[in-house]
Amino acid sequence: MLNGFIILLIFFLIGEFIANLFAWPIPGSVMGMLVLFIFLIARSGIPKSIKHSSETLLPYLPLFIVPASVGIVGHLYLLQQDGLIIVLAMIASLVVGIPLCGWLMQKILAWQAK
Amino acid sequence: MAKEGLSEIWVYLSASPLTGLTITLLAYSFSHRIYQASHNNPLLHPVLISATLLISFLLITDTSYQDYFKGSQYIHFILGPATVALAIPMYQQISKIKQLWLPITVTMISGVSVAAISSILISRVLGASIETQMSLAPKSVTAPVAMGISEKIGGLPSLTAALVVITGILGAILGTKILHALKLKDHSIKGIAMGITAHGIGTARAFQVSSEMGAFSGLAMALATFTTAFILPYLVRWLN
Repeated sequence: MLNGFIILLIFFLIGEFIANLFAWPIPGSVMGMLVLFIFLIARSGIPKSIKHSSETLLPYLPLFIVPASVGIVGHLYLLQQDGLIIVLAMIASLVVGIPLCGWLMQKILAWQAK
Repeated sequence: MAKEGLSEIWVYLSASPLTGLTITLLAYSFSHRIYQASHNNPLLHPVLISATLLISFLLITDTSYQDYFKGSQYIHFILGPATVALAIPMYQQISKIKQLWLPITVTMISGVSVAAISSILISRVLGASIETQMSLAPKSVTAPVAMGISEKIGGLPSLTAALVVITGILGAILGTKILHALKLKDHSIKGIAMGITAHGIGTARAFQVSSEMGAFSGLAMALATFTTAFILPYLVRWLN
C-alpha cells in the first residue's frame, strides 16, 4: 500500500512539474494520470503495488470530493441567483449530448464495417 | 459557570481540525449506508447527502468553512493521488481502446465540445454570471478533474463539484430514458454515450443495465476526462 501510494505521489509531482513547466492550463493530477497511463503502456502491465493502492483509494473517490463540495456554502447566493438556469443548462446539454454521441458512434462503426 | 465552560470548549473544538475531519467521515459513512440500502439509487448519491448534512451542520452551528476545511483538507488532499490512480482502470480497457480508437476519438471530441459549449451558451443566454458559466463547463467529467479544470478557467471548484454530482444524477436518470427513446440496441454504444455525459454516476447506472454497457461507460468516462482537460481551456478562450 505504502509503496504504491509513494509511486502515485511521484507521478502526481511529475504531472505538476510538466503542467507548470509548459504553463499548460491542465491540472497536475490529470497530467500525472496521463504520464502514469503512458508508463503502464510502455511497461505493458500494472505493478502490483500501484494496483493495490488504486484498488484501495478509488472506491473512496466520492468521499474525497466531499470537503470541496461543502465549499458551496460560501456561494449559496450564486445558487439562489442562477439555480434554475443551471438545471436548465444541464438538462439541455444532456438532451443534446447523449443522442449526438450515440448517433456518431453508430455512424462511424457502420462506416468502418463497410 | 459550567455552561460557560462548555461553550468555551465548543468554540475551541469547532475550530479544531479534529472536528472537521470526524464529521466529514461520519457524514460520508452514514450517507454511503443509505445509498447502499437504496440499491444505489442515483438520487441518494452519497456526495449529495453528505454535503447537504455537512452544510446544514455548518449553518446551524455557525461554523465557518475555513474552520471546517482545517480538518477536512486532509481528506481533500488525497483527491490528487486518487486522480492519478484513475490511470489504472483506464489501462485495463487498453484492448478496447486499441480496437475502437477512431470512432471513440471522433465521438469523444464532439461529445465533450458539445456538452461544454451548450452549457456555457445556454447559461450565458439565460443571464448566468461568468463564474456559473465557467463552473458548468467541465460538469460532464469526473469530479476531481472537473474541479481542477474549473479552477484553471475561472470557475468555482466547489460549485463545479456540486454540479458534477447533479449532472451525474440527471444523466443516470434521464440517460437510460433518452437512450431507450433513441432505440439504440448496442450496449457498447449506449455505454459510451453515458460515460461521456454522466461520468462515474452514469457508469454506476450503466453497470446496473449490463456489464458491457458499464465497461464501455467506464472507458468513455476515462477518455472524456483527458479530452476535456486538453480541449476545454482552449475552447473557453475561444468562446470568450
